Amino acid sequence: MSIDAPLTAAAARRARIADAARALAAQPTAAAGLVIIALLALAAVAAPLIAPADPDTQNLALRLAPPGAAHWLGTDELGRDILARLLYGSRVSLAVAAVVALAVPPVGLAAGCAAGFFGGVVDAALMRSADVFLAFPRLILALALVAAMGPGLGHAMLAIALAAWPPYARLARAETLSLRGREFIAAARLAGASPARLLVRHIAPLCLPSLVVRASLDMAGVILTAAGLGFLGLGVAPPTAEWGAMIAAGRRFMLDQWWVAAAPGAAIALAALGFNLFGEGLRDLLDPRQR
Amino acid sequence: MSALLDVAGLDIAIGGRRAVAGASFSMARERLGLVGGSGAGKSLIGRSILRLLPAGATMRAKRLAFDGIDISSADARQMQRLRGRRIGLILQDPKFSLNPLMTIGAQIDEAFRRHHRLSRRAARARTLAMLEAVRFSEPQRVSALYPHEVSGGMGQRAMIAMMLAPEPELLIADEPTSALDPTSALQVLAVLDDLVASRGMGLLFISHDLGLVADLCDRVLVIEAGTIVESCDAAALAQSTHPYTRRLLAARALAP
Amino acid sequence: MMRGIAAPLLALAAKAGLTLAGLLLVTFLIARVVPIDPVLAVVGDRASPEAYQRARSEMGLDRPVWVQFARYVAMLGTGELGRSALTRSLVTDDLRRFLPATLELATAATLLGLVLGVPAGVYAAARHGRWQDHVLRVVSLLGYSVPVFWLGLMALLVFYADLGWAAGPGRLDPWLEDVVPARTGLLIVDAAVAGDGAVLASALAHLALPAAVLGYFSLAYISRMTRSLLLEQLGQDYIAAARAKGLSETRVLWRHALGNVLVPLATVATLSYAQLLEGSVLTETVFAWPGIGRYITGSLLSLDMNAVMGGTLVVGLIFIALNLLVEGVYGRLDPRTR
Repeated sequence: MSIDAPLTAAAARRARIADAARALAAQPTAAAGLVIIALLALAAVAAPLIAPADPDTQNLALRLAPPGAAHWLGTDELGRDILARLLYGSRVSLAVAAVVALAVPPVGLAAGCAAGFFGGVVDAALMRSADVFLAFPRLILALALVAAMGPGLGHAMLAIALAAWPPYARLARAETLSLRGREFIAAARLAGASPARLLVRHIAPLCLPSLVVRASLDMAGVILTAAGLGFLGLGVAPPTAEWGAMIAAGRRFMLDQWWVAAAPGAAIALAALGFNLFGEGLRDLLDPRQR
Repeated sequence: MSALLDVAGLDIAIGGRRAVAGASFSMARERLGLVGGSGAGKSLIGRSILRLLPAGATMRAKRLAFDGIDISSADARQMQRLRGRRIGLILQDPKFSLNPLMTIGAQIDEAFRRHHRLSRRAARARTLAMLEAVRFSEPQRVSALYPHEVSGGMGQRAMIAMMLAPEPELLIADEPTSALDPTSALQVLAVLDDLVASRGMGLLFISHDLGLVADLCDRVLVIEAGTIVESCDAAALAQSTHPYTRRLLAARALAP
Repeated sequence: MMRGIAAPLLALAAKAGLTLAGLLLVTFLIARVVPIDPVLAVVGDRASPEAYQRARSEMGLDRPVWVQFARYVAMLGTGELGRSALTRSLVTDDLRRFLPATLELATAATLLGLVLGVPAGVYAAARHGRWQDHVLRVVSLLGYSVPVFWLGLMALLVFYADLGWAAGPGRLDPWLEDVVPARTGLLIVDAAVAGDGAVLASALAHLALPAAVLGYFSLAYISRMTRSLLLEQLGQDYIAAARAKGLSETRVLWRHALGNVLVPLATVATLSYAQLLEGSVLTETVFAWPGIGRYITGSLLSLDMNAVMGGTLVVGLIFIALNLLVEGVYGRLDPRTR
């Protein structure tokens, strides 16, 4: 045994994380995805600093200008700089993705672990409600909810979140079921661990990897759904820049000034691609059989 | 007599790790046993002869020839002509080595029709004859069954029938009885013994069971951790001085 | 054997029933969250308090919530989905008019996805790790990343506006509408049955581009799944044995490996179909395709809640049915479980 072996549990955990990070960096797909996501985050955070112009400043004299020196991606129907609007639009998309990514998997994890661990009525109740939300296509549920509650970013996020949680619950439940019978759980139980402690300290952490993979892959879909809602006019209220809404606005000028709609679409595709690449790379790493 | 199989300097690597190193042997139309513990690389050697290594495995050989034909540089067409028609392969567990969604009869028909121009009826007749040859008393009934509907011993006999249908000259048997209970194992071995003898085939018998190999084969190769450490006549095994062989013999003596 | 079938089927039916009940509950609750007062929508905001109360009790809105829900379910049971404020016709009539268009589009797209996607997946599995495999991976990844409505717009721009290859928005040339009797609502079928070549040609020309766009997404999913299902099979012993028999690689791939994944593939196709139903909402808007997706979004923008809820309900029902198919039927098709 090498003298470099970690001496404490905390050090061991740090070493594991360092190894994981290194492996991730070596994986080309995950690395590429991470780069794209980082760029996206940078654009969102630093938009005021790097945008060439104010996204809301109209200049009707220069409306629908083609890409050129003054405006690298041209201007939209109100003369606003498209590149600037793209950069600011990343804020909306990233905000939706972040909120859903941070709020939904924990809820799904809790529900799934509880369902798998306790079984019986708890399992039935949780899984049946998961089935109900799975019965709706995500976009249509979002549409219905937004129709009822009115448009707006918050409602859109809520709608997407409600439709997004069931798969995480199912994943967590499946993992919990397979972990429940293992010896280390029985050992911990004998050592006097309460059900809550068993769930939180032993079972839930082991469910995390598959949920993280799922979350990353899901983010692409979330961005697409949010853009879809924006396209239908149900997302953020104008004049705030939002990629889907930009496509809807540019639709009228498709024939002659196609860049107005093309640019935001490419941005959406790039963002979704980043999350897809990262998620796939992560999955290849954690579950190589799945290639 | 030209060697049926001639192997020299065979190296096989899996995932960067060397699994077989410098294996060299040759065989005529005889029964050659290949014995070693699990993970010793014996299955890999068997598979490499047919170039059917698992994904992630690479092989390299100074010489790998069947009846003078160079296997290591053969292209896909040449390999296809060798497989089945001239070299057969039996695997360990018929539950996994037979297509679960095809009837036994259909799979043997397929073997016949691939290598001989036969009508469906003619192929079916030969399938039934083959099933009789592997000692099925109700060939008609068995041919309509699916692999999961027959016992392990029956499945292995069906597998033998399927692989011997094209009448190969060399049969590679990779642990054919390891997944069977003793009674079925004996029956399968009897069938194998009978058919190999009556058709004058060569047999490469791969197993972890030294005693079994010693009974069935003419010569024996002992492999340890990827290297062939001993090559001798089956009759001379008991006098072997190699430590690994002695260990295998001792294990066999202790085994029930 | 009958007993072996009955129990799991009953369990499945019970589960579907519960999901359905939940679906109804959710749609009911959503409809109640609407910020506009449905009574006012009927009587107008200048009605007297008495007229308001009368209308309110007529609409049953003064009863407790669970009674309202019971009435709602009963109403649905008789197939009554209310009246659309926009089209002025019964929502059920509207749905009957618009659903076939969506089904036609989703079916055409899924067929495209299968016909092109399965061979692509087989090919990628056969060339595992080589450049052909990577190309397919990129194609699929793009399919998971590109927004469907944007691709539709770009496709219209290139293939309709610039190249003139595809027909424009809508299902038919306007002068050919209502020419053939709408027996199934599926134009291709109706035109073929009526033997009307012109309508059939026009319908196909209009179906081509939206089906191709949606079909791309179906292809991305189906080809990826086919590839991974096949790769799983190709490592199995029975494949090695089949190769050892001397079978050609083509036969090994298509007859043995693919043959063993037909059931999971059926699941994949069904799931793809369900995905496309969702994607149709946006595609129909772009292509002016008169389907249920456009109906829902149109009604939504005019706050026609009856129509929105009716449409959502129907789509939800189709989803439940598709999931039932996947879980109930496909699981039984493997001879090992017979």
